[in-house]
Amino acid sequence: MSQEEQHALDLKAIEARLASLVPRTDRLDRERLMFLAGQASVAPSPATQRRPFGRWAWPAATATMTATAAGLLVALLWQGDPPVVERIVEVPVERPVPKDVKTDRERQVEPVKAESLQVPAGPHEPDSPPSRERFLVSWGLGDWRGSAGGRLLDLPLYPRTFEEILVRGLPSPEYASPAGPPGKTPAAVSYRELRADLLGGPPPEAPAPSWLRSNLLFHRRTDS
Amino acid sequence: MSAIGVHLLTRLLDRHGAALVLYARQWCDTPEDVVQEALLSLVRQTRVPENVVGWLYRVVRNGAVSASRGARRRKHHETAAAGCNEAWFEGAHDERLDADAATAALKGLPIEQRETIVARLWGGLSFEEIAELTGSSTSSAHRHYHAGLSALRERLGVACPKKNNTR
Repeated sequence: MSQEEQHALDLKAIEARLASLVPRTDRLDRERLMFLAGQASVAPSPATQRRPFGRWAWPAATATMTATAAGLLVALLWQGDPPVVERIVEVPVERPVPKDVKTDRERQVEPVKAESLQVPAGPHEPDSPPSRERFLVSWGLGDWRGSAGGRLLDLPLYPRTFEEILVRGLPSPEYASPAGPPGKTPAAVSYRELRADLLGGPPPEAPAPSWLRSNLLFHRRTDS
Repeated sequence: MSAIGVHLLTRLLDRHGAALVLYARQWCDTPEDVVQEALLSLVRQTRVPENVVGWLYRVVRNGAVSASRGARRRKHHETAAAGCNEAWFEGAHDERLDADAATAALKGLPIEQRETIVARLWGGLSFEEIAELTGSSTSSAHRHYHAGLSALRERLGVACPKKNNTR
């Protein structure tokens, strides 16, 4: 038997005898270990307690804000003086005008003569046609009466109240006559015409109330 | 819910508990606490490790080293684990080998040889597992093991039984 084989046999022998020794386990409390293992098995693990992004959310936000602040600081430090922009501004200057020459505006605005400010006699009514005429005369528009010497009431009257709208109607493009000439304002459709168009017959004659009757009389008087 | 069942934990404790305690005793004088904490860590795992025994030995080794460092820092335990007088083994079944003598012989070995012999003889790990556990190569684990056995044979005076001694 060679020396190496003898050495290997000796190692096998000491290995077998050492393996026959049993390590001590008397201080390992088995019952306590099982109790703690049961507690640990029902307790939530740190991996489950962790929120999905809780671990990286705050570090990522902090890193992003730090990088942004650093970038802004570098940009602020490297920013030079603002560039000079040269602009040519043209300022119009009025030519001096001699004092004895009237300007176009002075020529257009003539002083109001005293005759045109005469107020026609009559009872004062706030909304009556004479008061409107007097108002226009006081503003120097007394000559603006039309070529036929007509009255001021020949001007188109615009409805001011709901009743007038019902009676006179509004100029509406929806109810304009299609046969009308282009470029001309469409004719107004009155309430009566609209009702007759929708219901297919003439409106029933009903006695109008006193306030509407007076208004109608006013308009008849003005239309005549 | 733990992925480690009661049966697996009991089996691990029965088969590897004593060896783990002896393995942890190579570094610290509180090996039972280290092994207990390692088993509790295994219970807390949501997935069973691929090599449960190797994982346990790694955790026990790290825990024992940490405990040894902590004890050394506190300076409460001036004697190292190897110098502790506590018996490592129960009464020897083989009367030809004294347990106290074997303990003393093991304590005299370097830590690399000691942990290799403990992991191989009582832990039942392969040399590949020991190499992975200790962070060395398989040949280094082989070399440490055989060197340690040779040293123990010389100290304990164990010789190969003669062929003519057998009846």
